[in-house]
Amino acid sequence: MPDSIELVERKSAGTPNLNPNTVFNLSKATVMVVDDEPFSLRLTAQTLLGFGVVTRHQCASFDEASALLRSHPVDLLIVDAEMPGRDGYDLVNWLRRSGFDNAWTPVLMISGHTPVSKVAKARDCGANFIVARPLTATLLLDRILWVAKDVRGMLETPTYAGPDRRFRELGPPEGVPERRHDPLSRGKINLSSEGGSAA
Amino acid sequence: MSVTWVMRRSRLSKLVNQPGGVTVSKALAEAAVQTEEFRAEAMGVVAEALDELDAVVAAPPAADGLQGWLERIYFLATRISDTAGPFGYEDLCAAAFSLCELADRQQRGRALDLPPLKVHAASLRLLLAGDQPPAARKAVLAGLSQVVERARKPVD
Repeated sequence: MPDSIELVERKSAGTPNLNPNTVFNLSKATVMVVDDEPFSLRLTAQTLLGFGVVTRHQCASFDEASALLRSHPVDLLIVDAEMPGRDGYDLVNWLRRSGFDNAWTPVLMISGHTPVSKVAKARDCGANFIVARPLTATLLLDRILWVAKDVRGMLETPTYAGPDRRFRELGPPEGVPERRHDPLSRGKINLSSEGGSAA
Repeated sequence: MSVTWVMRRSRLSKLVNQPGGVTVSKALAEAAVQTEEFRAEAMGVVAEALDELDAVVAAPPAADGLQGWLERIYFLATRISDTAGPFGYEDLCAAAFSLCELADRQQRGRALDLPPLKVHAASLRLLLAGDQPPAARKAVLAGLSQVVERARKPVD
């Protein structure tokens, strides 16, 4: 399995091109952030406050998040992929098959470097989008607004539960290649290119 | 094989278009204000991680401790990247990402190759100092990329 590192491509691919005049309203959205790193957790939550998100649940682990997701409606889940023990991929996989009201909540998976051992897990976890770090405010907002427009149907099969992985009308965010054009489809897997990969 | 396909519009898609709200430019400006107070703390976290990285790299393990040792290096590299990223340290993040890749390869190959790890640790410190001209920083990153390319590629 090829695993070349592409520093230049990583910096140039998928740069958000947000229209500064676009108006959005997240004031009534409930967003949950899950990250085992306390600093990153607080920083992401604070960034969301800047976007006007009032209700923000902050969880540091699979257990904390899953307990809240059972009983509290969540409109958007932002999950760190790498966590000790049961990680972000496990959380989304569990959620999609949970049968709870939140089962099909839009999910942004935040990933730094993806170890080769977890590439398949990342691909199949059921997140709407995998966003690659470094996570700037611009990138986060761009992906939130994209996922808010994500109209793909949800698939449940014995091996996969999550958004239909075929883009039809929406297409991936600007600058992010469609799966059939990206290295994932050609066997050159690099889920950490900036801008992330559509799940 | 049973396949269930459900078409449903998320609540988020309805909420985001409700009257009121803010423009993207205002939201990003407000987010910058909200997170700026974290900058000093972020750089403290990065500096601590770099100190620990130097200490770890300076004390290579015995064979039976290799995986845990490389895991720690991987963890520290992700901490640097995750923490510095939101504040615009792109070069530092790219170097940290490169170190992640290197540590992951060595973990998979179950073989220690210390010099490339040391080069990464030194380069991270250089890039954090931020006193190099852009061309020099670019050269550092290009060098790291070559180091990783030359590193042993484990067979998966």
